[in-house]
Amino acid sequence: MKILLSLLLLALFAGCAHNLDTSGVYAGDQTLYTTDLTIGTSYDIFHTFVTFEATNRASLPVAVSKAADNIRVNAPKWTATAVRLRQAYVVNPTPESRKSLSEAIAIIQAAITEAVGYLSAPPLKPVTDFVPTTSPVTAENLIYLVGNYSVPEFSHIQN
Amino acid sequence: MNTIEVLNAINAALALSNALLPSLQAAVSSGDVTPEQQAEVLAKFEALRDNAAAKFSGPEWQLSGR
Repeated sequence: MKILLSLLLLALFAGCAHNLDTSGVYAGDQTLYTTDLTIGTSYDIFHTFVTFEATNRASLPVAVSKAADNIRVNAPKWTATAVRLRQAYVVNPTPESRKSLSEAIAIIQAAITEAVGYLSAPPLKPVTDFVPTTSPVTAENLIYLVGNYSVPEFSHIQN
Repeated sequence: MNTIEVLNAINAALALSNALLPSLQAAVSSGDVTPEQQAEVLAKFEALRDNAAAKFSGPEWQLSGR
């Protein structure tokens, strides 16, 4: 999985030489193709990340939720900005407009890298955060107990 | 790594791979990017651009409150 993700990020971020068939809709414009590929892919990754966080919130560290919240707040803005600068580049394809577009895409790429980092290796929530010592034993925290039978905080729980 | 951590990792990997496979294929394919592949990339971009408000809504986009 990490190999595939590395390939994807490399292809998206490293100015990978996409040999565009010039008869295609991009007519050989690498900037536009990379922009559209990055914007489209970023949505998939951001959506996967926020969905993953929402689904697994109870067992994830607060830091992951805060990272997801950052995506929730900013991803629409990043996307809107990139779309606007893309349009400006299409209308007026100068070095300046290309530079502005590239900077907007770089921000999205940095956020992609962070989200993929969380998804490819989700941080672990400390078990002491997950099961307060006074909480009842449920099926969910029992799994933790089984996996952490030597943790002193749980030694009071009887079979 | 305990059971929940393993399940979290598997869930994340599956979700990510499902989301990324089409883009991955487009990004790392060798040789020319065909007109059909280019059209797919453009269509995906336009779908997001034209439906951004709906795409970024839904319960998963609500702040966690943590």
